[in-house]
Amino acid sequence: MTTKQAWRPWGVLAWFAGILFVLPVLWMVLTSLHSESDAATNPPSIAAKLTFQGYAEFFGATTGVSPWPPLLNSASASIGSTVLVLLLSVPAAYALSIKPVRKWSDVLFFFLSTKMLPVVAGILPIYLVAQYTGMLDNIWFLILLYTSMNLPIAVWLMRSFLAEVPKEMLEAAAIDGASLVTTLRKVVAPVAMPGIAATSLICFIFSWNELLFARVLTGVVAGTAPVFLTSFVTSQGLFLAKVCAAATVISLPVLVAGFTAQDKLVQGLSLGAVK
Amino acid sequence: MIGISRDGRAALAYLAPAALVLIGLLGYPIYQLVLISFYDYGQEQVSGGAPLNWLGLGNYAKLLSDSQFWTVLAQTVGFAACCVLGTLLVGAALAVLATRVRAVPRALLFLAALGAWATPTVAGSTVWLFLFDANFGLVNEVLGLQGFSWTYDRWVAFGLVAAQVVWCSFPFVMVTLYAGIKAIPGEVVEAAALDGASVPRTVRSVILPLLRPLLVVVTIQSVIWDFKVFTQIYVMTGGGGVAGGNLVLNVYAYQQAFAASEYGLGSAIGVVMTVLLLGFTAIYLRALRRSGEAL
Repeated sequence: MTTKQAWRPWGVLAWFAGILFVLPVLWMVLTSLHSESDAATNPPSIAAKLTFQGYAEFFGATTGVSPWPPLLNSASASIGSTVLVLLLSVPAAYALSIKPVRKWSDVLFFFLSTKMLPVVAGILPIYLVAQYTGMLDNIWFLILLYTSMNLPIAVWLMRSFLAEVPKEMLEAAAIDGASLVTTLRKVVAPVAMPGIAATSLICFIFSWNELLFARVLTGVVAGTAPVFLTSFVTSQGLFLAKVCAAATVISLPVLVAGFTAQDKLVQGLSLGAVK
Repeated sequence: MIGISRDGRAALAYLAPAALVLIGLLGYPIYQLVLISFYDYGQEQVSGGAPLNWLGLGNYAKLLSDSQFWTVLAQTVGFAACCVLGTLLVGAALAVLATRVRAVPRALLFLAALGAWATPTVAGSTVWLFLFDANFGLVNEVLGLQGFSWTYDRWVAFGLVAAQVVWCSFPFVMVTLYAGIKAIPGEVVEAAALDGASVPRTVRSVILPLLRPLLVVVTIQSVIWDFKVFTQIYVMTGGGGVAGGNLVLNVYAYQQAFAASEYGLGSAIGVVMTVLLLGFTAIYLRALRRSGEAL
């Protein structure tokens, strides 16, 4: 939809809504830069002195506990599961959109239905499986779980992206006797790439912020950043600046990745959005 | 079964890996969940110190005859419905807004969306709790409501948590719908305008039908998320509110399973939730299919 000129009230409304919705994040960043005593004053001191004390605490200035292992664990869990999701969802979506399976919507429903297991109730059986297979506190188990967590939505999104690939190009590839891998790489990928990138970013964000599985299934070795964060939220009040600093650092990778890739994200998601 | 043509067999082969991973990692736990819900399964059974005691449908009977369960179920459905509606309305409104403004306010809207999306739920809930703190909070300061507690009254607390849930989940809806609106060819909208269609009419008859596949995805996603809200209620109402007034099913299941070590009962709640979600989605998809296009 093209807009020839922006209507003034829309602009005002956008500024108002944008500021309102960004406020919690701004407040979090501001608090992270205050000292603990300023962060807990009444009224909230917006003009208080800025300090990096909270960040120093987060990086273990006094406790000596480094946040890097959990951050790296989060990175491996998010990136590893995103790669696996792509490897599994592209062929599945290809089968559902390009080589149409009869009753494909039932297959999609099956994929989606696995998302309906409430994590809280499902965590005990999953814990028992992990215990039984010796995979407790193992980052690979988390990678597999995040893969299955994101797979349904990835297949669903990807199916509509792949439907954008012209049928004639696929037929030509088939006549030339191209294998699945060649077809995917040479014909499908160029068209569907923005969609694949958008799906990856979405899966990355969901894995990066996942807490419940990580909390129950990991310990000292494989603990992720959100688990590390909850260890900061021990008591209220004087630790607020530290908690906000931790949350800001943990949010930063997603924020930076998302903001720099927002055009790609939109371009990708708009593939196959309208049929 | 699916056709046995060469294509059909190939398609099956492409679907199999994804399906196997899902069955292995989620199907098996669901099976275990159902199994555990038939037993008296407590701490001793988890550690293997006591034999299993088969209850059959005992846990379900106990659950269905408990008036608290029905209260919590009604609360969960109402709460989830409000959250889904709020998320869709806010997400759609901001998506439309983003298509209508210049680059700078649009960047601000995207920054707000990505900020909300990037903030870990625990941190987001904690920050909101402090923003709305009775004595120290910025919100009470601005509104002149010092001393007013947002988490004491049951409905006010539900409202606050719902607002937080909407704030957490509007970004996915906004970004997806924004992309969808961008993908609508300009000529379609212009043609409608040339035919003299009003703006609401254009939205209803041209834009909404085109966006339908996307709306279905975001609606189902939101329903699944909001029916299973856990972190926000747990953090913001201190584990279920004053006298459990803010319990939703997921937190209730957690209380039964982990706090009370009644894993069998907790599993039964989980099974009930899964069945309700499955039923809702199946009916919704069927209704959509009956009313026209596939999905």
